[in-house]
Amino acid sequence: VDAMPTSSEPGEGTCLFFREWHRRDEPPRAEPPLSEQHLMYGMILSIKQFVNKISPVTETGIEFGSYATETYRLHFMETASKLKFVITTDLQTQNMRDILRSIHTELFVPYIAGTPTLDVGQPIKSSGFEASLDAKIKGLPFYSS
Amino acid sequence: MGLALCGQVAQLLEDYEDDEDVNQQLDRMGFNIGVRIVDDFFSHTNQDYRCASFQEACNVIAKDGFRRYLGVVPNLAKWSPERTECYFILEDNPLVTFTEVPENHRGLLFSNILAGVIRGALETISFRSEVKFTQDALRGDPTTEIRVRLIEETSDEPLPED
Repeated sequence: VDAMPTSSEPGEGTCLFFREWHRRDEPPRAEPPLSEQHLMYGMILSIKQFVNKISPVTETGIEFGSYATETYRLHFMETASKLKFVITTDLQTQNMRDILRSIHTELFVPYIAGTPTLDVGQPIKSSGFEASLDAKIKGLPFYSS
Repeated sequence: MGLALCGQVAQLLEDYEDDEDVNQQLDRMGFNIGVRIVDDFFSHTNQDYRCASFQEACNVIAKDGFRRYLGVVPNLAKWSPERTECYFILEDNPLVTFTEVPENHRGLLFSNILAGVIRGALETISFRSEVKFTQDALRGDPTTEIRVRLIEETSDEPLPED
């Protein structure tokens, strides 16, 4: 796994949380520049609309799951509450969907939704969430630098 | 849960003079619960499920949501022809099993927190709604009835301008 930033955003496209594990040639950043956040949000929305528009079947609500370039793969998962989870990995990592889902179930729900002082739509400031997420990602079988 | 709410309402009655203000506070508290409960709900059930319509969302909230968190299932009735308005009818309201509302607080909607929860949950899954108690058995009405009306669907997220 080379680079793994993750961010999740509610309706207005606020970046709730960002974390990098590996990124080549650069020191890890605490947060992506705002322009990058906007690009990410715009791209996700456009892809979502596009995916539905060109669908040959009439069903709507098809979910976009991932795209790959020559060097990395981006994985995407959205909850019914419109929280978006995004993670980039190397190309060997095939399916992160269940992992993104379990980040929501096992980490977001108890740490964020279960804490009265934290606002669900605001950037996540929870050391418990951060530590558990870190442990979870580093504990993945294919996590290695 | 009923007792916890009792304590909360007691405090609110102390803090606010007007019953209507207490109702509003209860609604706001409920809204905050509703916003959070959606994530919890989906983490326990089928996460890929999306409600395609307002009607479906109301059905899921009544049949699965109420059962899971309150242990009762309200009946949905009196759907408007456009399917944008209905009534949640509670035969049995576990929040008020032992509760009586005193004479001098006739305006109090003890269970208004439920209206807030429904509103918060609906809004989080992009159905902005108005939710109101129209009847409350606790106040002597024949049933407990909550009217849910869709204001707008917010599913189409706008692209940020830049």
